[in-house]
Amino acid sequence: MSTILKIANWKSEGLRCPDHNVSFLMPSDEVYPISLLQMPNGTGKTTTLELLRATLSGSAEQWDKDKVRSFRKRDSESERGFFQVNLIFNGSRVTLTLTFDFDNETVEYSTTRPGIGLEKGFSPPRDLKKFLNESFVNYFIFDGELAEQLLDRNYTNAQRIIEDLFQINLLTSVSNEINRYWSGVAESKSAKGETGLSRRRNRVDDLEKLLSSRKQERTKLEKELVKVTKALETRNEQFRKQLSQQREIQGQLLEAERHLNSMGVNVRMSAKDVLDEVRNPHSLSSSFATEMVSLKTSLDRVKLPESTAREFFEELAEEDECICGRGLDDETRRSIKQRAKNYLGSDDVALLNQIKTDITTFVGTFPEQNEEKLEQNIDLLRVACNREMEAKTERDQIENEGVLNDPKLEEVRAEIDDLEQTQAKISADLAKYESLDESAGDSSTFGISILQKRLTNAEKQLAEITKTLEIKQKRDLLVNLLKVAQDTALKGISQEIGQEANERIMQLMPDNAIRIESIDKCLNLRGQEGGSVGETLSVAYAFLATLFTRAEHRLPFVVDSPANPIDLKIRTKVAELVPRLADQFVAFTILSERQSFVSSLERSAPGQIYYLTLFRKGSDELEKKAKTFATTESDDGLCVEGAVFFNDFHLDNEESK
Amino acid sequence: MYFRLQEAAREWFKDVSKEMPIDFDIYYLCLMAGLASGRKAEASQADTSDLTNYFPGAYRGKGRIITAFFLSRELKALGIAFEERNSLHSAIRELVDPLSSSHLSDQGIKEINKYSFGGFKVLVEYFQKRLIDRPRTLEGFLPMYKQLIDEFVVLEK
Repeated sequence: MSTILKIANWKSEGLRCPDHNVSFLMPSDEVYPISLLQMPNGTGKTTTLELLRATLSGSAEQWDKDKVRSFRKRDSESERGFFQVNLIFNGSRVTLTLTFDFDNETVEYSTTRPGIGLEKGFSPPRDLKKFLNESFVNYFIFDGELAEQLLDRNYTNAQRIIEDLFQINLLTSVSNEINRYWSGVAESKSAKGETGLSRRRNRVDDLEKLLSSRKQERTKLEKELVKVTKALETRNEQFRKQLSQQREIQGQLLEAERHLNSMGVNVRMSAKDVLDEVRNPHSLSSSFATEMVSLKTSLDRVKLPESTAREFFEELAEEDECICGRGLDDETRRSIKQRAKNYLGSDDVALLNQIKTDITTFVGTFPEQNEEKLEQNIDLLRVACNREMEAKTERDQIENEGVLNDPKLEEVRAEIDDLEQTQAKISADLAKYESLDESAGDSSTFGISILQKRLTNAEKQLAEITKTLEIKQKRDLLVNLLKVAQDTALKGISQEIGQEANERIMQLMPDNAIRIESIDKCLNLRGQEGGSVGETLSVAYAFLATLFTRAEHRLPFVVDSPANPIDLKIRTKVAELVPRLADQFVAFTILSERQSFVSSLERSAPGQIYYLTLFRKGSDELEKKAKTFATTESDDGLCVEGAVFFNDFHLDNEESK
Repeated sequence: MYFRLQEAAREWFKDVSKEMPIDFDIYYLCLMAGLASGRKAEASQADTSDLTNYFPGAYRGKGRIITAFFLSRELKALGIAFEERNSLHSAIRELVDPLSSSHLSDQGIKEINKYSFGGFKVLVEYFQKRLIDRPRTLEGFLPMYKQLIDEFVVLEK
């Protein structure tokens, strides 16, 4: 947003300069384009300028007691003083006041601005802050000393003013914002750099290889298991076939197999019966059953659930009368509603009642009986298991008889034993790949699901850092681009400003070869380090005139003795230039500047000049004369409006001070 | 809110579960071990999967009795005396939900799942002490399971 700033008036009271209130407002509330404030030496011109700078820049916050004391009005008993500047900022009023407490030798600021009102401290609107600071204020509250400093890199930073006026700093703000975002992202991540990325990438690679290797090992074992199992089936079939060919044991073997199968069925049925009982919590332990009965008894003892549900009381609280016939007032209703919360809802009541019923139904009167039933079933299961074992032994004995009868069967059985051992070993090896043990390191872990889980986590961590690094690379790229853009813009604008300023210098001093070579921290002159006072001031005006007319922002330009050190010949040119410097030009002038400068200024801007003469009281004749004009009087000063008094104000009057 | 089963428990029971018609049996066996031992454990979403939000199969008619036992154990764990009516009401309301098909509130399901996760740890440790990596047959497992419950009951006394 562009800034249009003007000074409406300033006011000083109780300070070293005469009390005064100068307004630059026309009756239409517009400010005069050019105001000339004639203040003879000794009137406090320097003090006023210093106060103006301090009030507009906030710099007085750094003042020490000596500095504060130096502003006290001579021979004055007044404990307080103030300097106030009223600004027009984009059409709104902003007032900055610097108040002096001479008892405590302190100063404090206050600010009045739209939408906020009066508040303590130096707090101009945000968009004004970049102009209302110590370094910037010096460019538009200007004097010859500052003109010299423009050529001295130890005092100024000319590029800074270009950056501020042309808003090149906006690119820095964007960079800062990007860096702030990156810091936020980086802070939430455990690893950010290339080392972290490399470490995480290696872990993913290692885990991928290990997982792939474990899967291959498992597949190989599974294939071996299939092969061994098939061989085992074949050998078993061969064994059975050869065994069944022995007539003497054929019948016994069939009967033993049938019996073994039958026992196996019994075992599974018994196990199912046990499982059915186990599914009852009250059967698992008489202690559990007793605990459940105890739960019901305890609920009964404390009369839970209540026979009355919460809803009854909530509804009662809505009635006009209690069920006892007494009327219900608001307080009683509130109390009933509050206490209703101590009761369970009807659904809760129903569930608790059902639970109590189930405890009675399932657990019964003798809780220990449930466990006894389970234990009986477990006993039956053990018996069934033993019988199955006996049936197996019986069958094996018949087989052994058969093997003794046929030596070839011995070989087959030996093969079967070997195959069974191999099968068991492969199965055991395969089980390692199903392990869920997470305690071992990667290289000692075989559990495929565990390795898969670790790989997923490692991939997630890698993705996180990859994303973080991507953001970092984007940050670096953007910040570099913005820096290049900023440097290019600054260089380009500085060059253009320099060229245009040189054209103005040529107009001001056609016979002078002084030119701006480049602009960086200061204005660098071509082939020379400095010039005469007049040359320096002319270069400064040319530079500032170019700057202020090129920039989007419009600021006032207040100058102390704009033409005093300049040759009479150049004063005319400066006077032509000044009206174009800013929308509002305020000059503190002395009598000697009237020659050439003021007269030329009148020609350059006819009818646009507002004349003010401010002087300290003391000369009766002068005061008497002043009072014949439009005059503002204070305890120790007079401020006279108009060109007539301004131009008639004599040197001897000035010198008499 | 669902009853959740640990994948590790499913794997551990894989030989026995052939003889158990529903996975809720695994959940229940773990749960009772957890309630018997009073041990709760956390398990991540990734390590568990949803089972049901009601008591299925053979457990259909036993939901309230299981809830009763859970409630009893949880009230004990919370140290709530029955005479403290307000605390008791508050705990019951927090754990049960009469309108839920499991009779349990979300908080109740969360807590009962913790007992099941803790119970699985108890089972694994119990079998490991006996140098058994996992059960191979139901007939071998069930008597050992009863023994485990009995040992915790004795410990509690």
